[in-house]
Amino acid sequence: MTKPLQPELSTRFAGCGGIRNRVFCLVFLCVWALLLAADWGLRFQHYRWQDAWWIRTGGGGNAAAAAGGKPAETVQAARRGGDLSDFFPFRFLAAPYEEFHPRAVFPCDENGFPNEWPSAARHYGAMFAGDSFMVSSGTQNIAQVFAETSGLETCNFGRRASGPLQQIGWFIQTRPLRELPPLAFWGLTARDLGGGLFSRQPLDAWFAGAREAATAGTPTLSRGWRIRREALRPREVDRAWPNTSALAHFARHAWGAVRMVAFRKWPAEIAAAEHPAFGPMLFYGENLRVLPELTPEKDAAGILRTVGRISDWFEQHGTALVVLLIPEKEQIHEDLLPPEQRRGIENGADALVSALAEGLAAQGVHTVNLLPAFRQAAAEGTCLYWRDDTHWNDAGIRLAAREAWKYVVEHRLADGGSDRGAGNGAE
Amino acid sequence: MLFNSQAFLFFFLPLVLAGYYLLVPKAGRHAWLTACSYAFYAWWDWRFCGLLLLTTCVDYFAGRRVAAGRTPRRRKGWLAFSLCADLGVLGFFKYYDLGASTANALAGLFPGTFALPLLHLALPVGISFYTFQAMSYTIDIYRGEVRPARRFIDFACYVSLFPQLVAGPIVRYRDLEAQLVRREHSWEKAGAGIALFVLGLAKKVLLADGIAPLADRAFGHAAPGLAAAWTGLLAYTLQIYFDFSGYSDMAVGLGLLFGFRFPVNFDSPYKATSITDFWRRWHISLSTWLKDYLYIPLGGNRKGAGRTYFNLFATMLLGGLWHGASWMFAGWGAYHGLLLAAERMNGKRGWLFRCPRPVQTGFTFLLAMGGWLLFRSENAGVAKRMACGLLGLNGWGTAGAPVRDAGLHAALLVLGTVLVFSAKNTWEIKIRPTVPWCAALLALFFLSLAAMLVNSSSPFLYFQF
Repeated sequence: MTKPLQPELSTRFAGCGGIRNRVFCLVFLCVWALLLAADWGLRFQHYRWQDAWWIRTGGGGNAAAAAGGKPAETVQAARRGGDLSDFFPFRFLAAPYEEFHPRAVFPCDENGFPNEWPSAARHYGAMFAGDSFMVSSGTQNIAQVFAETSGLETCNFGRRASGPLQQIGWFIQTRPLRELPPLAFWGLTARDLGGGLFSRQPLDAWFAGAREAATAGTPTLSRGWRIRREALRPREVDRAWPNTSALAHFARHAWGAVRMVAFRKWPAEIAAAEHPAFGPMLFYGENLRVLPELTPEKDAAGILRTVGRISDWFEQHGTALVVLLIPEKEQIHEDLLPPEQRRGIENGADALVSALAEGLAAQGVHTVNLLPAFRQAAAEGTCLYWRDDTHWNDAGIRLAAREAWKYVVEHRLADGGSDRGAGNGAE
Repeated sequence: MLFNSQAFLFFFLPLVLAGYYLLVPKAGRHAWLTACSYAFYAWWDWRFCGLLLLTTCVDYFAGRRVAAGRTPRRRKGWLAFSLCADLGVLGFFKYYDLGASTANALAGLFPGTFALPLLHLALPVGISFYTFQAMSYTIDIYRGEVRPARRFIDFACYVSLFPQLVAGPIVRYRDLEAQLVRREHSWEKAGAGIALFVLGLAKKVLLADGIAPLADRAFGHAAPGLAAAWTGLLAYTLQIYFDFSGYSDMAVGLGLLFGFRFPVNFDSPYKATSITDFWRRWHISLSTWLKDYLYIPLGGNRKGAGRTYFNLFATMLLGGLWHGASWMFAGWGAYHGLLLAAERMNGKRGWLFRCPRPVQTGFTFLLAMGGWLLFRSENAGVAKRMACGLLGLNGWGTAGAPVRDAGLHAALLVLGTVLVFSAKNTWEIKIRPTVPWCAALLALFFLSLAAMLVNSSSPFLYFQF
């Protein structure tokens, strides 16, 4: 016969009176409820989990904008420090790395993207899709700079922290514009190029969704919602859970502070180096870990297949898709890293980007590899990235926009526009 | 979904508790628990819910037939049907590939014979636990020790009950029979359940997971040195205890939250003074199950010394295989079977019994560590490498790849070592619903949550997509 259950503990609690037990349990339940509320609230408010769970089928309209009947705008307040210096648990430690990020004001369309309101019925000459590089800015983001450079009206479907594929998938499924622009740029950073990430994407569902929308005769403005069932699978939710948790964020931050105080160790998310010309510079620890792990042999085939299919879809709809291969800061400033990490990035991310540029070109996919141009500009003394952030600064954005337009002109991909800035460094 | 996951703590458990106490009428509580348990199980792979349901239906039906059987022959027939079905499912899903690959390897010695296909079946989570529980039900009915469940939903609730579904303790039907009919829900039980859950979570997350990197480093090293090998083996010895006993504590705590009382599963096993004593204290629900349903039916110690040794060996060998489809687990079981047989052979005359108690405990601990070497090694090659390291054949050697925050892990290893030899069992700690205890448990809960979140989170944000 097995032993009876925990007689000591239960008996001890039972001997302490109902009120005390009740208070004990209620205190725990209240604390737990508070944690739950905070975590769930911020999950939807800050991390916008809902964007991964359900999508608009058609440009339904930003609730706030639609209700008010007038365009909204997003204000990016002026501040010191970027996403990397935010990893420091104590502000004073971040001070040497921090830069001034100016205030910027962006329009906000009915889908929450930085375009003029309303965007659905407009006629655009070009569009951008991708994640944070597409919307990060100094004073302007890449779509705005490209519009100035090219003279083409340009819309932007970039969203921060959305990953390389979510926005392009969203665009294909929902067709938020009445007419597709003749030119589409899709930004992929080196860190995005994890083969597994690409192979997980439900491409068939995207294209099926697009067909459904087209068959219904309402490719735009259908105002419907569709739950992304694939995003609700346990494996996907489990993957998303810790990364969209405010508690996890605070725990990481607190642990970073403890490590720094108790063990005199830097936060694992950042590494620092002194650039001879630009000064102290921060690098992203996750990039230093991921970039050397990329391999052309393992990752290239899946990415080429996925990008090829997406490019074909755009081509079938009369749009030339141009893939922008955006280098990470760590690739441009490899010389500041320890030799082992430098070799790792050369053999990993650099090799993969080269293989992809060649592979995509061989497949007939328009590709602009920004790595050589960025390396050259950095060698000539232009700082292209914020020192305290993973993203490019104004100079980086302008160079990228110029390279993109140069490619368009050389390959005659756009009918309209101007040739301002194409092929030269002048603005 | 693990108990120490965000999905469980911040989604599943609140939902189940709210439904159980606030939304569902009392009469529907078992149905609610069963539905939630199936959802819990489906979180791993919904396809295996069918298997769980099949086992439930077969044993419920067979149990009724066994009880209603008018002749011993008929009763035995229905019992055999139930056992064949249970063991058939377990054997097929868990052991088919091991059997086939072993048969193929043996057939390879005689070219031109046969080759069985490997199916690479996904192992249904917790199948070993719920199969043993279901088997105990029909066997106990056959023995006349319990009556068959009156309602199917009660039995389905018993088999699938999520607190003990995937990692035990193996709760026998006779332990829950009365509780399934009527059980008390009280603040006292809830308080004790919360305390046990928090302590179990802390054992799992702070100690087991905190020590694990040291074990992983040693077992992953190509040629671990003497110090690294011993540190790694000690780390694994502590890790598996804190991991498993912590999970059991959480299971028992969760059971209490729903009014159930489960059996004790660990009783300070590393304080054991012999291997026999160790098995009275380690995974008690399994060792008593093996004793009652395997060792004693095989004849126990009633058929002479030689047969007793054989029974001990066979029981432990099968117990080892129960842990996983690998010959390393079988080796671990055989190792313990041999030690138990040797202790039985020596009786109380052995030199160990004449030593002071600390020596007995230390020696038993070393023997248990030897077993964990086999248990943790994925194959004989890893075990050999570690054994060479333990014997100093690799020299002091390097420690392998550096472990992040190694100082912290080492401190936890020391703390864990002190705790296993000196601390009380969680269920023996004199916790009371007082302000200091409440504050201490809340602090432990926060610390465990923080450690869990730090370890589980990837700053690579958009991998969520």
